Amino acid sequence: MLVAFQLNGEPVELEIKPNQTLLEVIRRDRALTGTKEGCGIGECGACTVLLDGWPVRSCLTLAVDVRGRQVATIEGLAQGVKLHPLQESFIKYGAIQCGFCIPGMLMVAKALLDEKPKSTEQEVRAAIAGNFCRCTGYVKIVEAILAATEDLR
Amino acid sequence: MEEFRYIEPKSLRRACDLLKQHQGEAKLIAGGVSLIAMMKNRLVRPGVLVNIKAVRGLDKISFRPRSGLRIGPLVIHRRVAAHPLIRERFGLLAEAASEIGSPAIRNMGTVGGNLCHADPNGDLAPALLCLDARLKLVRPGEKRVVSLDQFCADYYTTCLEADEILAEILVPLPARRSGGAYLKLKRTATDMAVVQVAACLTRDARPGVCALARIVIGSVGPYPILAREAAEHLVGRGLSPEVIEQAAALAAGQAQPSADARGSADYKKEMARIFVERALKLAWERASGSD
Repeated sequence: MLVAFQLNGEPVELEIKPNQTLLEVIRRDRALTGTKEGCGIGECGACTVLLDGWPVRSCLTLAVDVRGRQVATIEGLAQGVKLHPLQESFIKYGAIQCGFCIPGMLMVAKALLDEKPKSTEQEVRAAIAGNFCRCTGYVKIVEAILAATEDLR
Repeated sequence: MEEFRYIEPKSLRRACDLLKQHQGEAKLIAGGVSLIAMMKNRLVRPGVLVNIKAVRGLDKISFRPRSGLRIGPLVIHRRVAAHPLIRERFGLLAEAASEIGSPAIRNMGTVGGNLCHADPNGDLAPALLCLDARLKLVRPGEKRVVSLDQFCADYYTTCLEADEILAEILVPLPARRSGGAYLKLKRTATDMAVVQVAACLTRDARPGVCALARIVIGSVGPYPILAREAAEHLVGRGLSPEVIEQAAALAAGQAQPSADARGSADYKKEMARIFVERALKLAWERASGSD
């Protein structure tokens, strides 16, 4: 099936098989390997991308189902070489260890700040509740997101 | 994932026809969160997927005082959890929706999908049973309305016929002076429930007396259980801590949990008792604050 959608703001039109997930299309067909596959069944959050601005699991999304919609991946977060304030903040606060969960973390954080720029710690924790990190213990990730909310104000 | 044929019908009628035509190998898909995960694990291997997202009019929420709340099956959980009127007047339903999976799952999963998947740990069925919701089921030339009790038939099994589709969820407005609560015990932020309790209590005109009660316990059997005896124990009585404790014990007596990774049967039964007690206290407190 020929499916047209927006990928990081650019129109794309791809030949997609019904059994391909959005994750497979992003990583294999588009070679955007920033989005990670963790569990593959929607539990871990590593594959999180934004669909029309809202976080979804790309591993559970049929690619044919994004027709006409806006998909945003980690590759679209920075503006050229200028990192997004969230990315700057993650670096500054040492929120990254192995890094595998970070693309998903950044995408849910971006969605949260777009929706609610003045998020509280509780809201930040609720927003990342579905994103597993097995290294950091989350504290620095929460600090980094909160600091970015300050910067964006 | 294994290959399958993918069809996007534009009408419910056509969707029903496709389900009939491909009976035994077709599956209906909406949000996909449960189905795609099961297909990846090869727990189900449908040859045909019928996606009803292109069917218009199935993603609406509407309310009229007399007929109550109407929710389309394609409404996603985030919308139920955030909807101002649902939060204000059907609060326990908003609480249940906000407890489903993770934020990303709530952006994908639909109310209809959650109910039709009929997971014994599902969050919406106990809440909707507590609110005495009705489900409108359609197939060509036929329409029927069933209660949640009738709908949930067994583990992962509903009363839906092969070519029948859940078309609408109808929730009556709780009586005046009512308060509700939905409580879920879970091991981690995004886990399925160990036990769930939904309770709705209505104050009598006589101060301190309970006029109506509905209590549902979930995850302790094949489907949510309406704890009738426990509810009857409350009606017409003043709700002292002792009366609430007695009702909680009665409700827990109806639990039929099985042991699994989330706990032993005895543990779940005990947690059901404690969570019924807490839910009743909270619902009563809320009922006391509403007119």
